[in-house]
Amino acid sequence: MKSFKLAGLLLPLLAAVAFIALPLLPGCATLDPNADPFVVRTEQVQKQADATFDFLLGVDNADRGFWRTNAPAFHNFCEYLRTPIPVSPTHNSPRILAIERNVQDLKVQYKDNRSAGNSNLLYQISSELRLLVLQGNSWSNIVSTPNR
Amino acid sequence: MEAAGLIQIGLQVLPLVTTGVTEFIAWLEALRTNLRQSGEWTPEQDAAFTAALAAKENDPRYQQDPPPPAA
Repeated sequence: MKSFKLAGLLLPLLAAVAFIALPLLPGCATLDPNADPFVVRTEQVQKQADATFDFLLGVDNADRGFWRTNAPAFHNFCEYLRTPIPVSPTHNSPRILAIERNVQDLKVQYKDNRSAGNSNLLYQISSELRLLVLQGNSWSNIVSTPNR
Repeated sequence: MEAAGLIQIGLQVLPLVTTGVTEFIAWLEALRTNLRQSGEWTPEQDAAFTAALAAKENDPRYQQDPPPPAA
């Protein structure tokens, strides 16, 4: 009898907590039957890279002098991402944009012709981008909570 | 998937964030939206993404520090 009363008290409480918490929890969507998981995964990495590097480079750009002095490793990472590299005989592009552009071009090429060769190329370059994103994600949590 | 873990960590550190709060929330929201992708991008979305990358070439956030003045 007592346990029924306890359950009667707990259930509305649990329902209220779930009502508040569930919209905050991330959920992975189910893939469409015709979607290529490799392409979708690559596109997720691309979007994640886009958001992460916009955020990181924006934080660094807001006060470059502060980061150069107080977190040189972070500032150097940002400068590494910004370093211009040649993308054509006449044009240089910031390193991270060149890599993102490379992934995008190879992905479009793979979508047009889903051969093993194109798949391998895309896997190599998207893995490099993913590693940079992982490193960037670590910095995101570090630099957004500094003791200033 | 690491994005789901990052969102959990991000929500935990959110009260401690002192730098770029708005951008941090936008970053979390982008990760969350990203997890909900269920299909491949359309050719229009691909073209828009390529154009957005090209537009960032002149974004001040993506420009290197100016060289130090010569002594």
